[in-house]
Amino acid sequence: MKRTVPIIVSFIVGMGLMLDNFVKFAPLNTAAVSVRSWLVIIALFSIMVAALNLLLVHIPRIRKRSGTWTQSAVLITFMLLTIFTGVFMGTKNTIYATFYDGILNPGSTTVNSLLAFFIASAAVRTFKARSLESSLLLLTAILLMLSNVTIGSAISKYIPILGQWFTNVPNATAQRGLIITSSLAFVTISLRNILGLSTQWLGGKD
Amino acid sequence: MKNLFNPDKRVTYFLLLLVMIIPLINPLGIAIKPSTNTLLAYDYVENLKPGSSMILFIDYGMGQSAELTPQVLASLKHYAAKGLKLFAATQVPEMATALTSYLDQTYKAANKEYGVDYVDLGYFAGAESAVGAMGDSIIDVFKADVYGTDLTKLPIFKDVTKLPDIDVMFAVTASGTIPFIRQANTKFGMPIIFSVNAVMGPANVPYVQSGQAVSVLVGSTGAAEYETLIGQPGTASAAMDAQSLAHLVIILLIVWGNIGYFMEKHAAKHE
Repeated sequence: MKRTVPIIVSFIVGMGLMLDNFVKFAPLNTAAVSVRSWLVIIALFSIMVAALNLLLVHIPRIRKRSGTWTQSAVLITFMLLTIFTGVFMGTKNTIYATFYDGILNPGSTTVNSLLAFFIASAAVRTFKARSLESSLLLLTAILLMLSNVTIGSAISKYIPILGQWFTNVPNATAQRGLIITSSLAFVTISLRNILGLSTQWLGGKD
Repeated sequence: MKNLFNPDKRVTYFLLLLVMIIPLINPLGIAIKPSTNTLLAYDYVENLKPGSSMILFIDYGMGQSAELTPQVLASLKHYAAKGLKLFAATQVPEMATALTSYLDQTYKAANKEYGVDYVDLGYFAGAESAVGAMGDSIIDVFKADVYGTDLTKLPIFKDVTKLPDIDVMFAVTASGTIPFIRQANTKFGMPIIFSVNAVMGPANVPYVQSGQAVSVLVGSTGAAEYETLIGQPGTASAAMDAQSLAHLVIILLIVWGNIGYFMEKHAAKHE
């Protein structure tokens, strides 16, 4: 029963939403509109569940002073402070704005920007022309690195043209294949879920 | 010898930092030539009639802000100048505050009237499902704007109730373009201009070629090119010289490392 009911519900909802794209039948189309708005409401609740989950994971860690409990304390303190100031004092107040502009914004941007240094260092250490394939990859990478910035066209007017060709022809051809195969896989997985052939989403085994 | 050709990573970091800081202080002024993709997006907007409507979706976090925000600002300045009516929303909670700031810097700065020329819908949950639900009714998904005003009371919603009533979509994303194509282009034939970070650019070329997307603006370069086209150089244009030199240094270091690799190989052969 615990598994049969969710499978029946997912079959009805899945088939209904799929048919809504192809069939003009007023009761079905109206029901599909309602289901789509429910999805938005369910997604909103999932944010609340995620916040509660964070509390459930980190508060016991803080109580027991175990592991990286100080970091958990910082996380929970700032989460609650941000929620409190945002909800009760509005997003324009100074404390909320300081959290946002002074911590979140520069912090996230800095961490992300550090990736450029790591990628550069890894490329320098590993990009070696060890075989024909790696040599081709190396040459294409250098060409695209130049064609994607202004210095490429300053060196030669042919660099952006060649870069464009690599992007529009060999790259697009390979990407098209990837898109078509991944879409087919997506359809297969969706059908398996709708038909109840795959039940991993219920927490069980296939 | 081995150390000379395989420099410590701190040397790479230092060189990169140096070549990025110098042009930011003293720009080299390398000319920015708009690419086909950027021209496609710009020309499409240029050919829209004043009063046409545009929906903006922000789908990236603060981490990608350095790369994507300049694209948003340059594009919104263009849309405001063209007199496009703008509906703006984000599916990333942390970007709701940023979205208000982007609208202040562009539409508000261009003296556009809130509620008539543009509306800040703020955050929406549900990602692709919500975009799908907007196909039925934008008003039902949001109900109110970020200031709590009932959407039905805003003049901008007089002729717009659902996604297909809007002329063009501008989706700025660091997570994926497919949900927008599925829910807006495939279902309603809605034209979409994408703005993505540099790593996502090549993966989205097929959508432009197939006509499922109008164009894809790619990374800081796309932003700098758009700033050039609208004649308002901003942060992306200022960063282009730094990015150019950083790419050049990485290429030179890769070549340097390969020289070392071949010298080592040659020496091992003759031992």
